[in-house]
Amino acid sequence: MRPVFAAAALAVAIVLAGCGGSDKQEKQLLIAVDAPFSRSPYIGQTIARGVELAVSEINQAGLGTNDAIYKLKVKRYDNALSPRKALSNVRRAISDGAVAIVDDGTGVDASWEVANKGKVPICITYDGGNGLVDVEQPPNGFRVAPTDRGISFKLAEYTIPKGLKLALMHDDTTYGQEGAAALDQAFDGNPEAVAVKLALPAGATDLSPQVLRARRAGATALLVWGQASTIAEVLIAARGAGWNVPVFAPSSAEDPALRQQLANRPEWLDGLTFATGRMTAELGPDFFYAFQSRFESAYGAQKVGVRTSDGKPVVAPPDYAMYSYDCMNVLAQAIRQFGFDKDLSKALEQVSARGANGDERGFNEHNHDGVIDDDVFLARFEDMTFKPVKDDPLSATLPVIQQTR
Amino acid sequence: MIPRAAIACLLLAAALPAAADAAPILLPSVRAPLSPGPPLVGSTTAVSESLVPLGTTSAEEIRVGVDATGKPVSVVVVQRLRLSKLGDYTFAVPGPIAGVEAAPGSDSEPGLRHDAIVWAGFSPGHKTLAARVTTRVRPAAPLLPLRVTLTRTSNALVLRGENVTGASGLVLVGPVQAQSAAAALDATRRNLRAGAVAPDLFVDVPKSPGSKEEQISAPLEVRGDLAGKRFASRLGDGDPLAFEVSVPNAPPNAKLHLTVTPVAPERLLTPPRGAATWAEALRRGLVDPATLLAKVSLARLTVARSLQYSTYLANPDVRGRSNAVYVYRTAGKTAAVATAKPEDAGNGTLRAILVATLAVLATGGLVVLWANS
Repeated sequence: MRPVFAAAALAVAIVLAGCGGSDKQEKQLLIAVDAPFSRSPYIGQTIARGVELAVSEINQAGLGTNDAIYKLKVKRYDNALSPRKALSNVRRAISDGAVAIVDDGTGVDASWEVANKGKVPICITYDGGNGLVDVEQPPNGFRVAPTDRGISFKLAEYTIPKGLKLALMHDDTTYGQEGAAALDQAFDGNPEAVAVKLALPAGATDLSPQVLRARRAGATALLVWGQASTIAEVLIAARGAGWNVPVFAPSSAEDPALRQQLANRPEWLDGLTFATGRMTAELGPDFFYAFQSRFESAYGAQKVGVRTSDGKPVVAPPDYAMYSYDCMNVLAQAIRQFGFDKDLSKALEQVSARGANGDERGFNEHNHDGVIDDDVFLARFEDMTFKPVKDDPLSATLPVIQQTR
Repeated sequence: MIPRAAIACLLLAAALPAAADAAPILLPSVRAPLSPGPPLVGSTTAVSESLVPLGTTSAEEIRVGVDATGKPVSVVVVQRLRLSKLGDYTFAVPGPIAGVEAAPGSDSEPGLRHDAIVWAGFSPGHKTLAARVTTRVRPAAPLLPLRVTLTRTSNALVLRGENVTGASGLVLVGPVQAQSAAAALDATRRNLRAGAVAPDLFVDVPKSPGSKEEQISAPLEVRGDLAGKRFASRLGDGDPLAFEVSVPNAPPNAKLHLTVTPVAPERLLTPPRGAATWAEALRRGLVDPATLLAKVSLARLTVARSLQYSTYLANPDVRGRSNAVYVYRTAGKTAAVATAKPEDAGNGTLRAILVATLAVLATGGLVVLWANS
């Protein structure tokens, strides 16, 4: 009877082990970063570093579900700002086994379908174009970056009550054209606030004719939506002609290239007002500074390459790195909460994670934009750094972020 | 289910030494919900943290579509949350939610997660967050305040409305320092307008009070129109909890329109025989002091129940003002009853079932083997 008892005990133990689950397997998950590393290294590096910092923290803390422990691995793919290259990158990433793609936005309007077939979400962390992210199409498209809609409405909301007549200028890049479309919507109800709309050739080194045209059309302010170099050329043309007109811009004005181009005439930059996503939550700047400190420990400060009038080197706050960092943390939360039983894109709609600025970051079934339009604020350059303006309700509540070392 | 606040009151009361001098006890709070009852809840983990500006108010219209028998076939809520502070906000309003869209006048778009409306953004000082929320009828309908039944007799259409807000609550009973109870009744009455921000109140008792279970109902004011016949009724607060309206020769497509508003128990809180206050009634000997603890306790539970039905969808600021009006209408067509999405039956569940089945078979076999050895 004793051997039978032992056999029974063994069987029960086996059964109990089956009920209790087995040892968790360790699995590696690939995160692809598709960004313009060669053509816009600042944007590419910012996105990739935000992802890599988050991944190192997530791996250190451990990313586990009931079934497995996951280790994340990052692989960079250079799209060189080419939609065709971006599409090919997404195909490669999926064949490499990527579970998610973090992207600057280049070519996403074509690549999302490829990713969707592989049930792979794409998270855009730079481009705010209106058509890029929609709950219906692409269902796997998410974004953690200020939207063009949010930025254009903030600029309209700020400039229209001032009675300004704006020249709405945009360059002929995809970014500029998407911005022009957003501005059209934002100013649609107030045509009297628009003096003229002008397209500018990106890469042109003299925009004096276009600036003169704006002046002759009766513009009392310029709103330039384009790459940093375009904004710089407009400032050079206007200030060079002695026209001290107020100039407004979207978040591309934060790009160090703008300040580098105006390094010899820093006073021409003073007063440039731009709209971008807030870096701090109501909880104060401590969360962002803590993130900045970790970011700089890992990669060093993002030097702009200019100095203030008292000789201090200027650094760029890693706000766009914060977006890709946040995107990874929301993704990790979705994996933690739902594993891979659920389509990862659907899981992303149900979770939040604390963002680098202390705010909750997340998506939902109605909105795949993780930076809400309310979070867009206005900042003004002064002495090569920028500060939130004081005559906008949100901006007035925000602290000045330290930008010198 | 007895609410925690009521249990706390009783424990506090029980802790009093029996022979001690009069000691204060906390009366039921006007914020203590009874179960079952609104606000709606859902199985959500929508946001991990909440940031709600103080003083956020909620105004709701609950639109109930009923079929020819009076059974709810749709429950749509229009909720307007008004924020009146400068600053960030992040919160979720839970419930069995099938869909949501911004209602006219909203300054922002609502987000949707499983069983939750999600709001997040920045208020520049004043902001209206308005949502039109379609609920899943099966879990939402039982928390409506009025049960409507429509029947046809040989020559009339008969509407019966029943106040179904009743829930079991513990009413404190026993001796009380009469002046303190009268003052509490007067304060409760005075603070009706304050709604959920009304302060908590104490009375002095000479010994631990007892309690008795009573049905606590929110008084309802009902106004309606059935096939052109208008009527009004008050259900509860001393009046019957049901009404009946009969319309002879009503056409087959007769329409019902009912407006139901939870109201304060004014009659319960009105001092007897023309006295201006409960303190005066006590002085004039118009009220039996032995009943005062039960009276004030019942009145406060009833106020709480009325306030509870003023938040069919939750106000994220539990102390914020809320009001709700329930509008029952004959549905134009029977709405499809939304059903909850079946949860994904994961591989884990299937595996567990298989393992359990095998375990039973294996154990059974071993037992037989053992018995025969």
